[in-house]
Amino acid sequence: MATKGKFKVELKSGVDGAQFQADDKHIELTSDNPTFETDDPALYAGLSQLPFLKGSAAPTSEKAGG
Amino acid sequence: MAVTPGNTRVIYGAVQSAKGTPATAPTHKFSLNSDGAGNPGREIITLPETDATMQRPDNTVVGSSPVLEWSNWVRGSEFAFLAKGIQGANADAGTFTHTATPVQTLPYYTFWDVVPGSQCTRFDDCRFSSLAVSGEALAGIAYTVSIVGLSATLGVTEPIVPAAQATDQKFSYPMVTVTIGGVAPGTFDAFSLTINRNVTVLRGDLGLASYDSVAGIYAVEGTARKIYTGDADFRKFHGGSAAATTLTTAIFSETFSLQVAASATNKVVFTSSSVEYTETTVPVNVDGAPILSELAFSTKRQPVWANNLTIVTTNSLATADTSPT
Repeated sequence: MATKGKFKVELKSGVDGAQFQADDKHIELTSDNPTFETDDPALYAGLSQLPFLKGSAAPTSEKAGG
Repeated sequence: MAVTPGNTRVIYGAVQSAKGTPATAPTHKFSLNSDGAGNPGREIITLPETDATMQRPDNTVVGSSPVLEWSNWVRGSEFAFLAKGIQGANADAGTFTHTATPVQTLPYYTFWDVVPGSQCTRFDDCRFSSLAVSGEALAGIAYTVSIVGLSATLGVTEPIVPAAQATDQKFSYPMVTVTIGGVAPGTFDAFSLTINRNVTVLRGDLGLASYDSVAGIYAVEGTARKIYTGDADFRKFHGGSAAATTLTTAIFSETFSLQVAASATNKVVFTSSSVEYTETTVPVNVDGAPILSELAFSTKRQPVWANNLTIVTTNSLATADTSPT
C-alpha cells in the first residue's frame, strides 16, 4: 500500500530507480513507482538532498506511490 | 568424519524489505581472500566475587554483538551492493550506473556465514559499519567490510542460490587513477580509503538479540603513498599553496577522485568535492631508495552530504541489489 504524507520525493529525470531506507522499511522507487511520501520532516530533509531525488513539501493526493 | 578444507568459506547476503524481516533468499555470494566471516559474538566476562579458595570466577555471558567482517578483491559486479550498504542510498541509471550517496538511515541486510556442508549461521538486521578499499602498485584492489547485526541464528539451512560466486575480473592497481585538484599526476603508488559509519548497537532487554542499531558520525579517511617529485605537497599542507613560504592556520583541501576502471562499463569511482590533508611525511631512506611521501586525508564536511563522498559503480547489472550470477 502506498505511503501517504505531507512531503513527497520522486525520481529525477534520467534516473531509472533508487533505493533507500525510510524508518524500518527498504524503499525501492522505479519508473512505475517513482514517488515516496512521508510525514517525517527530518526524513524528507535528508531525502530531498539526494542528487537523484526531487522533493516537494506540498500536500499530495492519492496518486502518490511508496 | 571428513576433514573440511579451509578455503570453502563464503558469505551470502541480501537486503531486507524491513527491519525484523530477514531476507529469505540471498542475492550475493561473496568469497573471502583471507581470514574473516561472521561471529555471533557472545560477550563473555567474569563477574568477580569473594571466594575462600582463591579460584578464578566462572565466565558469564552478558550479551552478544553479532558481527561480520571479511575482505576480498573489488569486482564491479559486487561493489554496487557494498557501496549502497555503507552509504545508505543508491540510484540506478542507464546501462548500468549505480550512484551510492550517504544518508543517515542505513538499510538492513541478512547475511549467511557458511562453511559449505558443515556450518551455516544467519545474521539478521545487519547494517554496514565500515567499508575500506586499498591498493598498491603490483597488487590487487581489496575491500574490507565490517557489519553489525542484531541477532544470530545457528544451524540454519544453507542457501542454495546464488549457486556461484561472481567471476568477473578482479580489479588491480593498473586500473587505478587518482585525480586531485583536477589533475591526475600519475604518482600515486598506493592508497587506502575507509568509510566509517560508527554504528552503535542499542541493546535493550531482548535477551541475546539487540533492539536496533544506529549510524553515528560519517567519517571518510584515507592515506596515499606518492612518488616524491618535489615539495609542492609539503608546502600545500603547511602553507596552503605549492608556493607558500609561511605557515598557515588553514587546512589545505582539494577535490578528490579515485577511479578503478577495468573498462568504461566496469568500474568504480569515488568522488569527493573536497579532501583535507591531515598529515604529510617525507621519509628518509638511508639505503638510498627513492622517496615515497605519505599523505593522510579526510573528506571535508559539505553543505550537501552527497558531495562529501559519492561512489559510482558501473557494471552490467540493473540495480545495486541485482545478483551478479
